Amino acid sequence: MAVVSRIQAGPLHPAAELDAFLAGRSDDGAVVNFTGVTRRSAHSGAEVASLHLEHYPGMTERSIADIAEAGAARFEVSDVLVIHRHGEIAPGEAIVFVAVASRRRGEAFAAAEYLMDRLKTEAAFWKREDGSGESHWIEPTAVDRDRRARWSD
Amino acid sequence: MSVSVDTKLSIQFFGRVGDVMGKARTIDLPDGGWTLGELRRRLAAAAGSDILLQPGVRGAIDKQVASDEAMVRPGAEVAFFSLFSGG
Repeated sequence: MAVVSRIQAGPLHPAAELDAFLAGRSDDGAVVNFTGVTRRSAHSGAEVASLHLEHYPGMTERSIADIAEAGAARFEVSDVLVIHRHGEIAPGEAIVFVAVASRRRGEAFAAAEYLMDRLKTEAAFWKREDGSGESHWIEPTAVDRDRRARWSD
Repeated sequence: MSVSVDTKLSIQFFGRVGDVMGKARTIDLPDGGWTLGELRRRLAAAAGSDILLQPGVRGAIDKQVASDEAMVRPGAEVAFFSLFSGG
C-alpha cells in the first residue's frame, strides 16, 4: 500500500494527478477522488479576491500525513493520495486533491469522505480570506466540526 | 564556578496571532529554560497584548503541540498559533 501526502505552493492539476493515480491500476475496482476548489464568495457573502493558506513547515506536512495514514489504517484501501496547496490561491483554483483506491467502492467513498472531514478541521493551516480592503482569518464551521465528529471512535 | 548564560530563543507565530505578534520574535532564555506557559506570559507582557493568553491559542515545541507545563530548553523550536483553520 502507498500512502502519499504532500503540500505545494504552485498550481494543483487534479486531472493529471488522477491520471497518474490510475495508471497501471488493475486490481482495484474503485478509485474515488475529490477536488476542493476555492470559492469566490466567503460564508458572509463577501467577495474573496484570494485565499491565503499559511503553513508551519514540518508541522503542516506531519498533520496531513497523520490523517492520510489514519485513513489508510481505518478502511480497506490500496492506496491513498493527498495533495494540499498553501500560499495564495485564487478563486476557481484547486486547493486540495484526495484520491483513494480500493477493491470495493464503499470503502473508497468512505475513506475519501473521512480524509476530507479530518483535513477540513485538523490540517495545520491558517486560512485567510482577502477581499477588497478586508482580510479575515477563518476557522472550521459548525458543519465542518459536525462532520468530523461523525468519525470519532 | 558555573555561569548562567542566556540563550537567544526564536519564536514563530502563525495565523491571527502573527498579525499581532509579528511572524517571529527573539527572547533571551535562561539556561534552565522556562515552561511554555512562562514563555507565553513573558511574551504577552513584552508585546503589551493578551492575544497569546486568549482561549484556543496553543504553543508547540519542536513542531509538536505542547502543554503550558512543558519545558522550553535552549535550542528548542517554539511557535504559538491560533486555532487551525483546516484545509
